[in-house]
Amino acid sequence: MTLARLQGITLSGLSGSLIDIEVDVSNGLPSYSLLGLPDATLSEARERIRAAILNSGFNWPNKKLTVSLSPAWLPKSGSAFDLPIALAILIATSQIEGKSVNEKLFIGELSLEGGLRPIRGLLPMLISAKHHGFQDVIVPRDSYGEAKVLKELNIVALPNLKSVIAHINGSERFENPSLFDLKESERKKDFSEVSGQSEAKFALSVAAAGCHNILLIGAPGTGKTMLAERLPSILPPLTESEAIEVAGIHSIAGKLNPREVISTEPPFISPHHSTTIPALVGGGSNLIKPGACSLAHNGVLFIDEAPEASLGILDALRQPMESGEISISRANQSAVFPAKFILVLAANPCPCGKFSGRGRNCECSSHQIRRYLGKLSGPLLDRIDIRIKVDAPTRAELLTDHSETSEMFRNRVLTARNIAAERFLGERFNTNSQIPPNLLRTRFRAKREAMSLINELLDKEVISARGYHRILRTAWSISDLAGSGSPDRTAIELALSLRIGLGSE
Amino acid sequence: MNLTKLRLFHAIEPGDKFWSDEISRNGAEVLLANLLDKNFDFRRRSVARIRERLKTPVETIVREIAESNGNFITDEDREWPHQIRDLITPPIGLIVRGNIYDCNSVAIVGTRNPTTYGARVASEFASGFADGGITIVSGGAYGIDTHAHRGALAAEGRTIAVLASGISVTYPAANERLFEEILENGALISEVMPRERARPERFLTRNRLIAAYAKATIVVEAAFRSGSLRTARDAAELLRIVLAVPGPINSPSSDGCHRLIGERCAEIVTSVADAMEFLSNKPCTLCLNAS
Repeated sequence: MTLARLQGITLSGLSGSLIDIEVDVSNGLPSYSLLGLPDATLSEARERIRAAILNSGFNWPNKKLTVSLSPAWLPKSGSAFDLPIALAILIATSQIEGKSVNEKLFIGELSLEGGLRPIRGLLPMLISAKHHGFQDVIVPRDSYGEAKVLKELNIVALPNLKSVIAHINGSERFENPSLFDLKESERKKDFSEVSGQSEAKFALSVAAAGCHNILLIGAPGTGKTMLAERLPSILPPLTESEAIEVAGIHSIAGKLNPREVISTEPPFISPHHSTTIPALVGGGSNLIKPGACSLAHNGVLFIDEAPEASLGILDALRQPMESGEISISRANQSAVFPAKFILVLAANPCPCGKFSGRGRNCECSSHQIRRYLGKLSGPLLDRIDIRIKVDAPTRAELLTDHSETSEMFRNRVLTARNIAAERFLGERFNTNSQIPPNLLRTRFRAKREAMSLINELLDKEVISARGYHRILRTAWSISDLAGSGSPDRTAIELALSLRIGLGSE
Repeated sequence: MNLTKLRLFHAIEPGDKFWSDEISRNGAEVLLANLLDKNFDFRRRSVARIRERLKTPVETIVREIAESNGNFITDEDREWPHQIRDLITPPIGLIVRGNIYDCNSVAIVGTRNPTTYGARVASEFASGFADGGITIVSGGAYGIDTHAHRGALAAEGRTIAVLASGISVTYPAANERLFEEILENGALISEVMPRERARPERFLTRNRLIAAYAKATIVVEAAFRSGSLRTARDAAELLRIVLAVPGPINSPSSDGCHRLIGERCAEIVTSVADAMEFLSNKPCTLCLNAS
């Protein structure tokens, strides 16, 4: 046989395309050519494959080798094709039997020694493989934790090229590795570790209940970061499909620990404020990689010292905040990543950070203070429903340690989410922050007394039309937490103070 | 128009006690003559700049003021706000755009970075006073000033902005619309030539003018170091009523108000009705002066 054919998958965003891998061995000057728009990693495959084949005890053909990846126009990238190309070469040169490789998908990067190494983006590839009708998938042994998530697939995790061939021949049976359960033993961050701050904790639970974005302002050392880091601990755990989606995104970014079971804890991503737009929303020239806002999908995106971020960086988040996904287009491809996150911003009250309490040590001019928070643009602030001041805990608060645990908060949030889910049955949205404006005035209106209060606020120009809807949404979350049906006057007042309590509307 | 005073107004930076004393002691004509006499030694460093500016022809000055749509007034004019003669350094003249023929006014001043609380209090107080027919005086700056002007305008009352810059310079630029609205029924006042910029020291000289112009000064929100505190102290020195609105003790924006109250420099005020009572208890010395 001089021709062999296998299949592989290449990713664009989270969706995969089926690739035909053909290897032709013909007479001529010994050479190796790879066709089908490979990127640098894929072009380097030749050296890895050659060494791996030789070191596994097979021969490298001294013939003219042509490897074709089709469709030819689709750019392909990554080292996942190492294993199928190597197998196709061995089949084409009749070194192994080619019968039993059909209907099987081989994924893996080869080491020079012949070992199989984990690759980036395995999980979305497997999801796509499932859609394309594959049943049997051979993956690197170290990726078993990631691959095992897809229970419908028959996964075989193998350590090296030799074992793959033994598996194909049926000469040896391999047990899949056992996984170490890191997640259970790992100590999670808990709300009870933060003393005092009952107001901020309440605000965060409202944010968690309705997926509202939140801004925390306070002097350095008051616990803004501590609070934000603990927000995932009060969010409902991810459902299986959500967890797989999140793990898939992290897999593409190479951020997943492949030996771990995937986590149902919502992700917490905190890019430094010096981040760039591509790092935040995603980008890259060959393989488009997800950015921080997609990594935070179904979780929390936290940006500390938000006013220090360069101009326009945070505004790049406005589109994903509205649509829940981000589409990135580059010259040779485009990709769509989901990006539904709770945005948490933290900021100091002024450049020196001391303009709180009596503010007597603050060295900033009034102009600097105004400019500092002014760096957060109006349209961005408009999308932040909750803005609160975080004050340093008092001595008494620091000494008492009977604050509520994350579990207690999470249970309340869960109850609130369930109430909301029941209410939104049959709608296209499932959280309070997504209720469309027209429905806030019709189907999901507050109690009569509450509506008259908020209409009055609008008439007095205390709030804007946009603020009107935002406050109603927050009020729904507050009522869901209290289990008190549709929002009443108190809920509106509370929502108003959460929105403008900070001082700058 | 008093051309002698106009030339001095154009040449001398306001708020300098030395020149104010010269005018009150010898009169404007004598001062101008002495300034024009190069051999007369004032032993004063600013005299070189003043002599330089005196070279500007009167016609040019008059034309510049006319182009700004403002009027130059001095204490000889009917509109002159006589209450400001209480100042140690009364202005030589004023450039006024709009109408300023009443004396029943209250100044509302405060920080440029108010909290929502301060912004609401400023505009509610301004509306309340405007409803009572009282003119609101403020500085036309960001923050409390803007909210005070807006509150007065919302109640269709009269409001006056005393500017640190010339009346043709919109400072801050974002308040251009506000100034236009103020002009519909109120006035812009300035102590410098129309196209002069707002230099840092001019804010303090402007503050003394606000303090003297109004019958009472209300500080709504002010930080520990705030120009509004200067206005309040100036007003106290002129024996005007000084009121301060309290806030939370852990709000840096209210610390200055608490300081004024603590130092017995200002009376605490918690509602418009309260403030009205303060105003009515004290006979209006300004009205007596004016008549």
